[in-house]
Amino acid sequence: MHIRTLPKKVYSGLVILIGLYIFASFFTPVNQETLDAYNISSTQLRLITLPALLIVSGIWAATAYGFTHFKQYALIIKDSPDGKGINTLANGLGLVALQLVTTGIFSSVTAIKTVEDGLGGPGSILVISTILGLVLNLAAFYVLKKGAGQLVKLLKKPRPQTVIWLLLLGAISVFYLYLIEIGYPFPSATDSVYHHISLSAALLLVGLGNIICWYLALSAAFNLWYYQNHVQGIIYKSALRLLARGMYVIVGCSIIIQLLSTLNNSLEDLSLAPLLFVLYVLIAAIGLGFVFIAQSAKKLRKIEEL
Amino acid sequence: MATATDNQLYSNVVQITQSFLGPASQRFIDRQIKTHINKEPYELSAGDMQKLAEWLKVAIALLTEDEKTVNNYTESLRKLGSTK
Repeated sequence: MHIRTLPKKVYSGLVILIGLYIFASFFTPVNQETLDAYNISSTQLRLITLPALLIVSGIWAATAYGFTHFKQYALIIKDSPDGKGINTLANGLGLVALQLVTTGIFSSVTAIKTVEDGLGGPGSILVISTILGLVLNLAAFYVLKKGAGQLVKLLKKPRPQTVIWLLLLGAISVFYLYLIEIGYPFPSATDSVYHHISLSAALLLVGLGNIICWYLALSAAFNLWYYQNHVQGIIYKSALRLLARGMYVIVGCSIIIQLLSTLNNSLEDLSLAPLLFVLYVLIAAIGLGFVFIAQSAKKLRKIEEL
Repeated sequence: MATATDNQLYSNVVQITQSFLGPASQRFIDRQIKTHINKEPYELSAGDMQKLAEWLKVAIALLTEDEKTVNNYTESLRKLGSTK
């Protein structure tokens, strides 16, 4: 990958994906069941979804902007000792962005009736979507953890103590698995993935998969916090602080989104509008996290350009 | 062949800069020496220090608006130059 051609590749890819997203959402037949459920016309539905489409496209643009700037910085310093860790972090952020875009397009494309039927109906789509999101999140957080770990190694200091937050994560994980176990098979929550899979799959695939994701994500954030606190350099640190802040926002919001999407059965008493609002706020916050990362990369890059 | 780390003066400049630019220090100093002194980093001598310190002050001032940080850096470089 070359530093000069990177923005062109990323932004042209983004334009294609946004085009696909808008086409799938706007120019394909609307699911009649959705229209009947909300008692609205297809034009009304499209007008309702337009602001959401624009917001999501803007968020994707922010993630592409943040990733491009950070990857460019990573490419500039790739042969330096800290270059390896920074480049791995950049790849992890790229996977987070990819996860966001892929799951967005998947939900948009599978809303088309023929695609929905072709994939075996809403239940199958929910299972595929959950597994797709989980696999991409696992890959992204694994790479981010690896990158942050590579940076911590450069400090030549004792590894950070993680016992307290590991115990906390353990307690939350047990409670989370317990909620799945007692709620199974969630008879009234047809929009929950647990309704469509066996108990062992719910616990081992979705439950354990999410817990591993949270462990990797928190580990990445913790290692980056440790590196940012212990690395030398007043000016370097201030630039890195924005990167760490962006990472915390991305990791935190991704975890909450995962939690909301898997525990939506417990939130079924809430109406759809506030839930969607919270979801969009969280996705927008991820976009903001990428803007922080772009700002950090710009500052770090300035050091390399003088 | 001599390497930059064999040059004590160069190593000291990098070490001072590390308090400000951390892991980016060596790359930063190498570029400043090559661009403004027209030498390889291992060729840095005491006679180059005044000119280098002036360029470093300008460069650091472009990276931070904190005057105290710029002054601290300049003072550390001045002390290093006067001991050589």
